[in-house]
Amino acid sequence: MKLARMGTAAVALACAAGGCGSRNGYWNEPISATSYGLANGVALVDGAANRVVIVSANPDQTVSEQAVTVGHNVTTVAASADGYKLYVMSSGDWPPQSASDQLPQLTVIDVSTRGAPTPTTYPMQQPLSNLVIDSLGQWVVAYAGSASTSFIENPNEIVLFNPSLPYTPPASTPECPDGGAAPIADGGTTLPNPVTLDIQSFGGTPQQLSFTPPLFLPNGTDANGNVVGATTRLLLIESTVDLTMLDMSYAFLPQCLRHPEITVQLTDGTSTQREVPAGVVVDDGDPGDPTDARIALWTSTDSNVFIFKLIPAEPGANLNLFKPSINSAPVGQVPSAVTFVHTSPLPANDYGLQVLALVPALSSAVFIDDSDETTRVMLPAAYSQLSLVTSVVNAGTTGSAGPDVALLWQQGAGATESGAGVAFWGLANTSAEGIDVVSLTQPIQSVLDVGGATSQNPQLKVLQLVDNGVYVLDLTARTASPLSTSGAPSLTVSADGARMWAFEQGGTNLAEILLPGLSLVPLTTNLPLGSVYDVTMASADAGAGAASALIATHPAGSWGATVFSTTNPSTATARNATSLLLEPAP
Amino acid sequence: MKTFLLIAIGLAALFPASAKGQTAEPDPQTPASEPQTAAPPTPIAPPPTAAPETATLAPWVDHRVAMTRLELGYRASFVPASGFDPFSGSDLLPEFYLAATRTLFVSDRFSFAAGLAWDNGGSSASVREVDNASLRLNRLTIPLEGRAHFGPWGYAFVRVAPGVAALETQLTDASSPATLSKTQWLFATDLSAGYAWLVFPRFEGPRLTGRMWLQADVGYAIVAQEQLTLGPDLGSGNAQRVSGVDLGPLSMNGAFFRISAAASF
Repeated sequence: MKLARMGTAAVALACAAGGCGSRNGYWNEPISATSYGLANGVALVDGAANRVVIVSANPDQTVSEQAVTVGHNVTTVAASADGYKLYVMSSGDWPPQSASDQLPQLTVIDVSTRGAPTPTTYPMQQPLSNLVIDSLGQWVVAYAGSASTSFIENPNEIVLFNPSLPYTPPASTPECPDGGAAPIADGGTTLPNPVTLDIQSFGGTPQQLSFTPPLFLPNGTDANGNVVGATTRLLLIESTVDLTMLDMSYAFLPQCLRHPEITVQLTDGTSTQREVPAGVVVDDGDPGDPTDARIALWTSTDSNVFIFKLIPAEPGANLNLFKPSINSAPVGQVPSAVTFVHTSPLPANDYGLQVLALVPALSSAVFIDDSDETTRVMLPAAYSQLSLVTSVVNAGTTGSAGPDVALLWQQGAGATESGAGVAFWGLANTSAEGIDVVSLTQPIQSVLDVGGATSQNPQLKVLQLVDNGVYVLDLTARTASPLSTSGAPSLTVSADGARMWAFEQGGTNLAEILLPGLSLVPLTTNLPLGSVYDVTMASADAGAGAASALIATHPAGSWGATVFSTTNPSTATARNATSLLLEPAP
Repeated sequence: MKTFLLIAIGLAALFPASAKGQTAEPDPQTPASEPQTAAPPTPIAPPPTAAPETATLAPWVDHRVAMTRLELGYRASFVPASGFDPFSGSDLLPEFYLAATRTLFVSDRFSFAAGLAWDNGGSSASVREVDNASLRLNRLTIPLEGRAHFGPWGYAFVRVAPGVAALETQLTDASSPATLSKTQWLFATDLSAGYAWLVFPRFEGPRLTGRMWLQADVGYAIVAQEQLTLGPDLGSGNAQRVSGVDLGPLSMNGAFFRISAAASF
């Protein structure tokens, strides 16, 4: 009895002195991570531990890791186009049960300085599950979309972020006591960021959002009554029944200065037809003409292509100085791809700007001219995808770049062996005369561009066939060089376009393919591969030519990676990094 | 274990207890175990010059005080450091305890003893549901113990035990081609206080016989901090280049309590 009392007293004393605390919950959380490629590293999103581990390669093929805390319950992750920002949206502890529960938030992790990721957090008022990143890096927009995260929510609410500015909560005082002059005078730094907007609805819900490139749009008139223009960008919101345009130049301004969104219904209001947006393309037209910018929209449920011309509007207080003029052009069947093309040498015929729609169900393409007249051209196969390759094919020529050259191919479930191949189509005439077909053994499953804006080999495209065959297409020579494979390779192209990596997901085989010569360096790893990322070993300011490395991830256990040199890759000199997600608990 | 016992016995032989100032007060309840001898009487004529012969008492030793002890017990260490979290679901490190001590000095009711102690414990836990981490700690210390004796009731003690600790950590992770591990010898010291209760026999202190004790002590353990940079256990002929993992610093400092049984002789 005495001993028991002594033991109890000892335990009490020991607990008091040492603290009988429990284990940090981090160690009990399961690992369910995903990887995302960045320009100079790999982001491992460790959602259960509420953190992102940035893995970067060092010249000696070791890795460095930096952990960044993100919000609870990660819902969406996306990388910026340049690979120097990672956007992590989380729903927080929703619905909140106590004051300490976390609100939904967007965390922007800036990795432009190598080894020092900088997070910026933007709290939100309600969880949203979709994120659209501006390809130019100016804005981010979150919206609910079809995936609901709450018991009840407003699907027409969108949240706009300016990731270049810090979080600024909405002012508690009225927004426009002085007509909004103050927030503009300070360069916008005191404007709320993010802003929540309720988009007007005619019964539809936003399905796809996209930011346009800079457009030269009407912006009033001068003293002589001539239309003057201003460069701005629009947020296009495609819903099931309409298209909404929001002028981003005014989106963050106080309510008294904000230009309202413009919504154009796709139907005449007499039917209950719902459209499923498939895509939208934008063209500024003549860069010096503010009255010829236009938007083409197509759906996967309608055989019309909708064309919106942005023309001058009557001026009014806080109103948009442009308005859309809508027309629809029938193309016979549901189009699969639409783009603006120039069919004449510049600058004749209003630059020859037309809309080109591929209609695979009719094995045809339809041109829609400026007056919405259509011209159908029968194609040798039911091509469903197109890409303009004018800048590559006509590179080195003097004078204007037009007319355009399009690359056509079949892709996806509807592809047939008869249509196996790619077609170069010179669009000088709206006819099939300029079509030049390069045959392949099987239909195409996917097409990869080789490198980004600074690519060393922009003339190349990588074609992956439905039977897992790989071809490297040379757009200038119009040749297709095959690569034999025995498995189902996944492909990754380096940002500089100098090489490509082929690997088998879940396997241990890997190969470097030097471009454009297709020299192969076979490699292996000790552990099954998840993904591979060709990354630089420098900060963003190092520019092109920075040394690079390959990081191959292994999603086994607590994740590992193998780092290869890109200049002289070898299995013998590769280095394994283990337990990437087992750093000390945050 | 055998080596350890031999060391303990050797230590006991090396440091025989001295009983300075031990008073010859036989236990009132127990007669002297050995009768004292006296010179036989001489009725005829005592030698005129010789001093009267006095009885010579053999040194009286209380073997509840001056003794060699072997202790065997359980130690529970509480390690609050976050670096311990990968290896345990709680802050508890259970340890096996074995020690041998020998009384080196006795003064009145106080004595001083020294010896050799070994604490061995380990812990393992699942890490993030995919890996397994384990830790083993071997402490080898020299307990230096001051005792205050209370006759048949045993004694209270304070103990300082400087020494070393071997910290072995392992991580089994499917992302590594080999087990990740690290072993490091570290300076260690235990500071504790406790009480040893004499179970049997409680009396007959001078009798040289085996005695059973139960004891408990509480204290604080100090172990030098270690950075847990675990590396792969690749074979000598393995040319793979594998980086390990850094699990951060680990300090095994913390409070502990210990209960043990002891035999003395």
